[in-house]
Order: sequence, then structure tokens, then C-alpha cells
Amino acid sequence: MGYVDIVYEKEDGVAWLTVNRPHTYNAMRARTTREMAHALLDAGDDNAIRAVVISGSGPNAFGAGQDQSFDNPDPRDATGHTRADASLGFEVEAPGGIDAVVQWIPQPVIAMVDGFCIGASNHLAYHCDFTIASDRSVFGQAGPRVGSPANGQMVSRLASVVGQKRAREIWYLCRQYSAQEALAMGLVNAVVPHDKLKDEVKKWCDEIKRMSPVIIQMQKRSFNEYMALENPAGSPFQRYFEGSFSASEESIERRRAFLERRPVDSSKNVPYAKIPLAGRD
Amino acid sequence: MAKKQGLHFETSLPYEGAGLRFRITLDLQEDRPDDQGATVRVVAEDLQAGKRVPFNNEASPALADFMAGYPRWMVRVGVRATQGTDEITGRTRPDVGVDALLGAMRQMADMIDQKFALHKESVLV
Repeated sequence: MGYVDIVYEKEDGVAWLTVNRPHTYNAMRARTTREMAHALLDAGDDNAIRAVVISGSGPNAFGAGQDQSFDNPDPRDATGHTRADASLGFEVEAPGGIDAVVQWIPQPVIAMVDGFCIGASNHLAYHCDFTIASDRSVFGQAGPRVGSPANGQMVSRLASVVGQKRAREIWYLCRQYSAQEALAMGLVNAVVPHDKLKDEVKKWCDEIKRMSPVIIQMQKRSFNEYMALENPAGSPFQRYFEGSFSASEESIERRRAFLERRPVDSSKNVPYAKIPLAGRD
Repeated sequence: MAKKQGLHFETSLPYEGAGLRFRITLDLQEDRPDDQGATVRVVAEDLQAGKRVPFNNEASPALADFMAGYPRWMVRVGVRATQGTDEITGRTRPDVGVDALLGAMRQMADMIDQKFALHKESVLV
């Protein structure tokens, strides 16, 4: 596979996957996640690879989430995929896109975060085994603000990482958190000066390489299966929601408002889904 | 009344791995009208052939993607730009001084570097 959106290299037992779209602060389009999945599965099949590191190119961002700069109002990007359709072209054991691939491969995956880590990039990072961040990093979610309807396991898993109250704060309010705040709440493992970040990540990789690979794989599965019990796969909310939120007026309005840096026209908001309550009409 | 400063600046950014050379040109005319800033132009060339590379998927998906997003990013450094078939053209605000223009130029080059310095294989189709 010829990579366009990522750079993928293997060196000394470590696979380095760099999202290389700095002009979008490394926001991911459908092509990006497909390339990432391809590279991660290649690393997963390689017994010589003992750790995988995901990062973003440049000093500005690990990633700014899903690329919101779709030109077509339907809303589809130039490749014809809706933003809800960032499927990988295959299913791993637990559906969930690139986050699931990170969990599925045997090696520990490290998110090496320098700069903004927002939206889909943030939930990618918290699905990684470790997150090592530079001191200038910023974390947060953006879905309710920009009209991106994340739900299901990718959302609820954050509660397993930082606890229910913090997770809900992060997801509902779209606040942004410094690296030190992220460290304090358990969202990252370590914070280092930005010019020491890669060296620090290499140290973690060296430490991993001294351990038994298959025992780490067993432990990774143990953590992920436990978390899967807490956070079942799928999108239960979809039962109550008719049609595609991504194609709704609200979704389009919120995305455009974000791109045009203006307030949202809340008259476009979609009404609540009707969730039946036993004994009530 | 102080005479307006003029500036003409060109930079060439070759990337052997990616197989591309970028040229950024910034031009600030001394005799410009008061409401006119500097003009900016960015082109990409095939490093071997020396010919301009169009910004489409047939020529280079990586370049096409970059050039689709680059004008939006350029707003951050004070340049309003539009994408043509094989060049980006833009203009700065009229009140931007020479120091700030040179800073913007450096950042524009740095953004290209962030993207294309990582490539070890040609991005041309």
C-alpha cells in the first residue's frame, strides 16, 4: 500500500507511525485511518516489532480529530465518504475503527503526543496502551460542539481511564486540558519537555523490549477484554435515532460554524431521540 | 511622509525523498496602493524534470491533499490565498510590516517542511 497521509517506518524493533497532515493539524480523513489500520496490522503481524508509536508530524498537533473540512454539504469529503463512514474496509474482533485496531494488535501502542490532541485523535490516544506527552500538549473532545456524533464504546471507554465524572466533563463540555491536567487525571502516563519527547518514548520502548512479548500481549488482552465488558461494542443509541445524524442540518451547521469560526445557529438543532420508558406512553 | 518599503523574496525548498521542489515567492511593491499588501505565490516542481506539478490526485495524492488544506492554514500566518491548478496565490493585509512578512514566509516554508521532509520515497505518481 502506498501511504499518502502517514509515514510508517520500522527501526530497531519499534514501528513508528506518523500521521503526516500537518496542514490540518494532523486531522484524519477516511484515507488516513485506512492507512493507519494497514500499517498497524503490518506491525501486528511482525514478530520483530515489540512496540508501536503513533505520533503526528510537526510541533503543532498529535491530531485534531476527524477532518471537518468537507466541501460538499451532504456531507462527504472528496473521496465520497461521509464522516460517519470512516470504516476501514474490514472488521477486527471488536468493531470500532482505528481504536479497535490499536487494541487488537499484540504490541503495546504508545501515543507520542506533542501539541493538540483533540476529538478522534484524543480517543485514539486514550485507546493506546500508553500516552507520553510533551509539556505543550492540549487534550480534549469536540463532538457536541462541531456536530460529530461519537457514541458507544469509543466514548464510554474514557470513563475506564479517568472515571465517570471527568469523562462526562471532557465529552459533554468540550473543554481543553493541559498536559499537566491530563497527567493528574490519568489521561497520560508522563509529561516531558517537548525537546525530550522522542528520547523519553524510546526509553519506554526499550523497557518494553526487555519484557516477554507474549505475556505483554496476554496482559493487553486482559485489560482490553475487561474494558470491553465495561464498555460493550456498538452504538446502542442508534436504536432510538432515526436516520443519520451526520447528514442532518445540525451536523452540517455545526461543522460549517466551526470552519467559519462563527457561533452556531441553534435553530438547526435536532430534537432529542424518544427513548421509551416502561409504563409511560 | 515615509517612503514605503519594498521586498522581493524567493525561497527554494528541495525534497529529494519526496521528489519535489517548492518555490515560495513574496513580493511587496514599493509603489503599491495603500490598500494593497504583499503577494505570495507557491508552486511545486518535479525535482528531476523541473516542471510544475499540478495539484491533483493523478499527479500526486499527497501534494493534492496538502495543497487543498494549505490555503486554509495560511490564514493563520496572515495570508489569504486561493488554490489554482498548479499554484497557490495569495495576498497579505496591507498593514503587515516587513518583519512580519518574513516571519510568515518562514512559517510557510516550515509547514511545507513538516509535511515533505518526512518522505523517503517519491510522492509523485
